[in-house]
Amino acid sequence: MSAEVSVPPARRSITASPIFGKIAASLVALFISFLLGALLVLALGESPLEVYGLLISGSLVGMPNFLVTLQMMSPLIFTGLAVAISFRAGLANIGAEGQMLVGALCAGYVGYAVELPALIHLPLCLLAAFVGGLVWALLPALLRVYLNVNEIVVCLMMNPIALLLTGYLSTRVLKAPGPTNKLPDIQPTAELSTFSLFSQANTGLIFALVLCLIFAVVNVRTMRGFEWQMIGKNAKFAYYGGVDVRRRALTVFLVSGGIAGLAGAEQVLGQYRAYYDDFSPGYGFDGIAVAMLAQFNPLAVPLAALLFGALNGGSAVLQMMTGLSKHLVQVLQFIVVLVLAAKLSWDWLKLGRSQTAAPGSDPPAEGPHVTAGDR
Amino acid sequence: MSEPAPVIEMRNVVKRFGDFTAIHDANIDLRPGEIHALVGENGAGKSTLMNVLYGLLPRSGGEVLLRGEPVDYGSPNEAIAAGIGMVPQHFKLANSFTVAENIILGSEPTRGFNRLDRRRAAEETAEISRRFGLEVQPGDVVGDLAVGLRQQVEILKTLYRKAEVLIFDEPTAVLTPQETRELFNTMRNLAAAGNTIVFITHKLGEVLAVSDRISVMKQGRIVATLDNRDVTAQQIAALMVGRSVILRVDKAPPSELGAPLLRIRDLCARGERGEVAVDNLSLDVRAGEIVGLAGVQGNGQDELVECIAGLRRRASGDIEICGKPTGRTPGDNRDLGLAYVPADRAHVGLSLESGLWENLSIGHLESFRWGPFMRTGAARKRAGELIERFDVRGGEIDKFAGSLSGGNQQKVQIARELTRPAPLIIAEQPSQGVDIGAIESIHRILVEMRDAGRAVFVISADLDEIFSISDRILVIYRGRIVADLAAEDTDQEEVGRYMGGLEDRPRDGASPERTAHVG
Amino acid sequence: MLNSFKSWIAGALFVASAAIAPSAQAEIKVAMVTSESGLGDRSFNDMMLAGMERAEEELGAEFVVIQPRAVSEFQSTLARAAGQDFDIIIGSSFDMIEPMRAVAEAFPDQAFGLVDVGPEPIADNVVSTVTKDWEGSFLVGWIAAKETETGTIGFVGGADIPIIHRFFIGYYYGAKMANPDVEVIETYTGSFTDPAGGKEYTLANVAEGADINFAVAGATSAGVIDGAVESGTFAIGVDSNQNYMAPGSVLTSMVKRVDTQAYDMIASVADDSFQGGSVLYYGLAEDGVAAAMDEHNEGLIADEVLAEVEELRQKLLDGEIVVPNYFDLEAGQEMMGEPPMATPPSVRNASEL
Repeated sequence: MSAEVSVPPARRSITASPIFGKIAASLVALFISFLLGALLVLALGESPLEVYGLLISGSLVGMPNFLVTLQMMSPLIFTGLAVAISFRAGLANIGAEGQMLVGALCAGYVGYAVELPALIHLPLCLLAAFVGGLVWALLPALLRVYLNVNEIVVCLMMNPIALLLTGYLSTRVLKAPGPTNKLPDIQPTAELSTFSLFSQANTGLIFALVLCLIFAVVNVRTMRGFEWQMIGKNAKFAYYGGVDVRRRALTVFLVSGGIAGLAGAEQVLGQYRAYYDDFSPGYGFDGIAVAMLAQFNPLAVPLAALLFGALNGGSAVLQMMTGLSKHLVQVLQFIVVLVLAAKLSWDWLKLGRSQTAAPGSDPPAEGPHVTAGDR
Repeated sequence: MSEPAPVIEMRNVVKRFGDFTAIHDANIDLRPGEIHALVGENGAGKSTLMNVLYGLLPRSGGEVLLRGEPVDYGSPNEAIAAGIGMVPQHFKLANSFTVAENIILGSEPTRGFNRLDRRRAAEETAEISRRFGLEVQPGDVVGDLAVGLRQQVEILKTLYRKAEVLIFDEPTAVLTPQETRELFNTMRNLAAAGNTIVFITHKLGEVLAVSDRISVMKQGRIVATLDNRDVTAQQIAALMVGRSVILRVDKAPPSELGAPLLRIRDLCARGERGEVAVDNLSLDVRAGEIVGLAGVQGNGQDELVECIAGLRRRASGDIEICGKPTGRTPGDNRDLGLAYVPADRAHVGLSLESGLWENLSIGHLESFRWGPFMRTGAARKRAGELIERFDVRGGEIDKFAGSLSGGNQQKVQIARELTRPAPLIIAEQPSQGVDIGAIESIHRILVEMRDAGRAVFVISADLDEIFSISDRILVIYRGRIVADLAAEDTDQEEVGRYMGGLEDRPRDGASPERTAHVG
Repeated sequence: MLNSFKSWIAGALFVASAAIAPSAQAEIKVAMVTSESGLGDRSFNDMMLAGMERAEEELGAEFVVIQPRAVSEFQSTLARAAGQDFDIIIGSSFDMIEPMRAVAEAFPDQAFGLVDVGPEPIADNVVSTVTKDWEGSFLVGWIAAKETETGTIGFVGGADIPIIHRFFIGYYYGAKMANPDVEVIETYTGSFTDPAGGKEYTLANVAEGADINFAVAGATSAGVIDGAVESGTFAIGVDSNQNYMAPGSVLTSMVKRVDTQAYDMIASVADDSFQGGSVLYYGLAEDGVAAAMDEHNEGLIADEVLAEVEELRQKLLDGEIVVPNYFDLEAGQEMMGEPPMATPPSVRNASEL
């Protein structure tokens, strides 16, 4: 190759994005969210400094508070990881809530109905939860991969179905005697042990962190991880390049569902010690926000979960100390989600426009004209 | 020729995007009644400069004079009102509307009570059409028209808005040679009526065929404005790239032909809308030859290539790669020995938001396998080597493919595909959006591949390219191979006739053109 | 171990406290911990809040409401509240029994209260209450028998289980006391989450002549009320005030006055009469149950009927009336309560209860 031809400068729209840029993007989103939150607190007639101070001290300062935060973040790591690996492969598994419920029920059932030594019983319960979540992801996954049915719609429908199904089973079929709608308590052999009176944080948290590590390695160091990412970036390209897109996509979706199911196992085996009907205040949906904040990076998921867990953990202290409602913290979380969603859709719009500006059958427009001219 | 006063003067126009200067101190005069070609490589700034004139982009410095008066357009609407029109490369027409409706869209004639005056619209359209010798009928539905006629609609649209300066942005890219000739006639008629034509292109043959004056752009500067009488294609090319380029690839005649590595029999395939796109097509490409497939875009070549690559299901027929029937997926066909350089870099051939090393690794993944793990270090190292070997400018292995220019993106694809141990190479529009220097080296690589005993199948809408490298030329028309010609026994006129369909009545009275052969 | 935790939390909360410097007057400080459904449930949590507000007004108590999002957060919430210097921490819901027991044992100096749970004591520093729902059922049964025009009233239970039978016995006893000739139809839908089934059973009762149906069936009750609307009859709500669900069609609701129960707990702390480990029973006499009267059922019950309710209360207080508790009955028993009245067929003809 000897052509000495000058090359026009790089297009500015898509820049190589180093990891610092990504971290900065998330931090900026958080900063904006907290700024908006501060305005809201001011409008409520409270001092933002006091509120944020309480949220921080009530979630991170002191072992009991921190343990509560760990308890709150545990399910979010699982659901956040589940959502993150599916989104990275371009699949929007927003059905983590339903998959978690089904996984939880499976863990709760195996947890009480089977008698085995702990060494076998606990793994079996985890497996049951994984399979339960996986099975619940099967329908949206198959529809998406083989018939190209929008998985978001299907997942959104599967979530309430899961709630009703687990509700039916736990209040009618498998209900433990007593006033509460729950399954019988699990055997001690199936328990994930807790550390403290102050918190239901349990060994499931360690399991979650290990999973994040594993998937960080899978993502960047394995064939599958590489192929998953290529599918997510450009499925047609991956297919053209010889990747078996359908099978890989199916695998990702099912694994994602399985991990969401494990979130249920953590709740049932570690926090509740039995399947409780309708136990989740929306961990599966919070997982979407966690994954977004983590920019779908498994190593960042625990950090994002820590933030959401801390907000929830600090919430009780905030309520005790100020009489403010729990809804304030929820609104703060929603603001984070909104800002992240705005950022994502902004990126998506930018990407969509730059791609339509350079359609494949025609030469890409010249130099910077692509972005700057297309207003 | 005495020099009439210019209708438009651009003086020291500067355009910056952030800290990047796209146009440096450009000076250009546009005179009434002239056809002024603006040539340059992709990325030289031709379109950017004209977008400044047309009000699409605000300029960063300098001034624009219209008949001696400084003007400053904030939007195309103001430019249109001042008599400047643009015939875009990608038509902006409503396909379900008639010609007349499209033409009046946005400046509808009305009669009392703001009602649309369709009859007047049709009459005015027909009148302009007649005046400039255009063929479109006001009542035709745009979606039914051939590409060349749609372009005429775009031209009519500017004329209807009383444009006196018409900017044609790469107008011949989508046309057959016959349509191109008709376009040139139209341009001449328009110029003869006193209009000013700006003709943006990078095809030197066309420049010489039609323009009165030629401005050459290079890296955002107008490096020369020349009279057509005084120049040759080599001179223009030299100005464009800063050195002489050889536009014909030197190549030895093909050596002994080997076995057919691509063998297609009775292939039928349907297009996106279910229409028959490939119709009982058969062809062979043998080891040691370069076969060029010529054809106007939309005659089934996309579907044909997708069938070969495994990206599209065929309706019937057989395809064999290296003697074995093709599989169900692109991966299967790659395993059979296919290397495929797709035309659609943005969506098929590259992942624009992935790093170069990732783009260069796909299709070679098995060589980096270590159990379930991937030796990413080895993949990155190899990517670095390929970037150097194939001279991908601005290439760093972590840089996104989307940040490269078209030519360098193409080099990434070629580096990836041609380093596969694949006997059959399919290159689809290999020089599309690629600057001249890179075209040359891409063609040279393809010839090397042929000489190494591989079978090379080139699909191109650019006849210069087809003639530049092919040993044998096939012409596709409406999904069928209508001609199989040895490259040395044919010429662009003949191939062009086949491309337009032999049934078409011969176009009498079209003046012979200087064909685009150079060198 | 626990002590170290307590010092931890004290330290942590010191940081927080310093930030806001709460007023250190001798007021009573109360923490109310809601069940996971939180405030705005138009049920126990909202009613408990009313009790808090009353305590604030009448006792000068200061209160905060802490709303855990899930059952799994109960224990940590209670534990962290126990680290504060609240005078009493009050919760509700069966799911809070175990968390509160664990926390109360770890904080033996902290007073706790848990409303409307079972008869077993929870811990030495926890006061719990049992609502005598059978007395409330007695009251609405009595009203229903006074108000029926057909002489037949119905009972729609969620499941054929003892805890629901207890409501029926009270209802039956009250109805027979008001009018010995009244017919009482006893039905069970088999589900607490089946509004459609509730409606069917209700319409079946109506077809047999019942013009008032008492719904003791959780979410199924919504179907009972629906059936009442559709057939132009009346329903009676349960647990919380459900009059709003179909104004004009809900005759009244048998409400558990958890507000009274919570208020009394705060009052006991205020006057130092708090008796940890005790289980208090709240019946009609203690204002622990009531027939809800509000703008949604205004005029549905005759004033003279309402006037007699006060007499009933007095008689219960004096022991003149003792409403039978199903759990005290035996299979085949013929008579029940004080004054004694015939048991319903489901008891009299049963071989075991």
